[in-house]
Amino acid sequence: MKAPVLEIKNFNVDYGLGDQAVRAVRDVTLTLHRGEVLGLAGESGSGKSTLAYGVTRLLPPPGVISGGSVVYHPPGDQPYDVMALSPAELRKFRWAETSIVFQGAMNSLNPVHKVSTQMLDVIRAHEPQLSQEARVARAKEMLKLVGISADRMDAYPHQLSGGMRQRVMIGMALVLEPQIVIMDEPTTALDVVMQRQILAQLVELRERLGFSVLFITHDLSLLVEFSDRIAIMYGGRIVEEAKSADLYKDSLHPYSEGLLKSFPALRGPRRELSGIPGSPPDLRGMPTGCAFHPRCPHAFDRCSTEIPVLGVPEARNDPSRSVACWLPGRVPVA
Amino acid sequence: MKFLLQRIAFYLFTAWAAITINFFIPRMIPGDPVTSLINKFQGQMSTEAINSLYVLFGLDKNASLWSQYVDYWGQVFRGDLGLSFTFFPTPVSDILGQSLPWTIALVGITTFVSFVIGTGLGVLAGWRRGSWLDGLLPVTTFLSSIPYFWLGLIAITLLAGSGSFFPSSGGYEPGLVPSWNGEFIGSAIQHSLLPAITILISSVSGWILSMRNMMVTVASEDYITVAHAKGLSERRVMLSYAARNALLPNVSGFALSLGFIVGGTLLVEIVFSYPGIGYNLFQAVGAKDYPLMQGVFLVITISVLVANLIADIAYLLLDPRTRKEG
Repeated sequence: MKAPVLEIKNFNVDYGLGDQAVRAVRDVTLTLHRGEVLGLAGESGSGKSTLAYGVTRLLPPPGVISGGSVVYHPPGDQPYDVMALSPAELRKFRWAETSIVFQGAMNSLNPVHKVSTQMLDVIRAHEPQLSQEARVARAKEMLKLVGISADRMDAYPHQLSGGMRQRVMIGMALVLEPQIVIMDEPTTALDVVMQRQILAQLVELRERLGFSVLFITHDLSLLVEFSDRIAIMYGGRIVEEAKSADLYKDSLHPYSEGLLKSFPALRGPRRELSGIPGSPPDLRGMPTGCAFHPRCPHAFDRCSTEIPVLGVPEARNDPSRSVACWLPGRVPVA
Repeated sequence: MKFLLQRIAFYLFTAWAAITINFFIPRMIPGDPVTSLINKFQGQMSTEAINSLYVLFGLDKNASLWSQYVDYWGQVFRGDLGLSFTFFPTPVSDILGQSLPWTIALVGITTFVSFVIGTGLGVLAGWRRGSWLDGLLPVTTFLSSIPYFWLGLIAITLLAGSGSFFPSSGGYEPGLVPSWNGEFIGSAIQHSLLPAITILISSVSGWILSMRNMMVTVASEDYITVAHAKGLSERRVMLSYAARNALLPNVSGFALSLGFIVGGTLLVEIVFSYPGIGYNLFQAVGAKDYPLMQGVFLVITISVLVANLIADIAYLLLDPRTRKEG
């Protein structure tokens, strides 16, 4: 097993305070290893993006991190808890160690500043000792890596297409060569052809630069192809975590199964598309027990009373995977 | 560039239309300026004198409307706006030349200061939403809802008067000769304080409110989150990302308010008997002084048009999206 680079432990995020608070992320424990692509999938409102904003402490109010720690392991240095950083330390940590590519590719660039201004200011903020020429050279090199010609440096965002803007954002995310890149549905706003091109490029860049990716999407079919491991979120909790191939071939949680059955396979035998009945749970009134039980075809008595614990399933006894389900054989080994 | 030329052409057309209307209105009003001037001299004028007055005011009954119109344009281009009745025989252009600097100095500087203070407070109030700065909003809104002239009258009643530091009327100490010396400038500043403060109080909240609201809107944009995620300093995110974008509507508002400097000062100058262009207009209306009115209207029209042009240019400079390529 590779060394961890980011360990999220018992992480909780609430929206609002006190009794009225909505618990968007509950008790999430997740480890990102060096150089891997970890996929995080789930329906809208399952807490995926909230988790990403939470671990980078970018949550807008009323989001509150109500517990847990996020331990970052810098290469060749002592690990530290991101949650304990002072504002100045946090600013240093951001982008230099963990950069983010956001959901809204179209609105991530400031419309009134040139691409160059927006790429150079982040280099200046983190590496003030670098000369202007060196900064420009670095920015141009990064743009070239993501397939944008250097003369687009002086373009304004509205002069670029959606795909180009997202490439610029990816280039910007890599400009300080961070250890971790969080991608929050980076290709949702793009057409499928562009999605594919950008993802293929990302995989190539990762091999060259060696960063880790936390890839958040609701498109499980993308993850199966591009990620090393996949974690499935439902109702603010991780319900299953496994290697991509294992999850695709042999998913253990009924929810993962439902997700996999809701898109067609590109290769292999034909499957019935079924989808998942019902709609995502309301975070203000979560079902008792397992949050998925009202929609689960296999639910039984225990599901509605006890919250299942995430653990290595009895039947598989494979430490690389875990599931939170009460079904026979999936109950964690004691 | 093409866009700018289009705008300039549009403003030239508007200016032509406004000046033409300015030409026709006095000619359509019942009675004519010469009759009222004759009344002023109570009939002690010869027929020749009356006829030459008609010619002087461009109302020569023997000339066609068209030739009057052409003459009028010639006068406008020469800066000859006719003779004022109230200050007969001073040319209108001289009167405007005297009063315009007062208005521009008082209201121009105040408008600028109000814009800077209001926008600055708005940036802070919008950025630190929910802090004590939000308490400022109801107070300033309340102050701005007070009718302007009433605020002025209250200020005069409470603060001005004999023995007070604030003079209640005029632009400078009577008896001083306008010149660029310390005594005169000091007196002018002293006289302008009270009107300036009342203008400031009644106008600053508009800037605060609009800037704060734009800041709040812009603060939830994705690129602000990105700027935070980039680890930029709070100051840089606030100024270069949030305020820079939120400023756009306020800048065009500011340019437009420049146009109202000349036209919008009537009440201030009446209340404080300030020797500006609004006070001129007030006197002109009272005395049926058509040439002076026409002159004031011309100045107002031109300043509004110039302000609009400045707004367009400012927008072109500040927002790259409005620039058209090619």
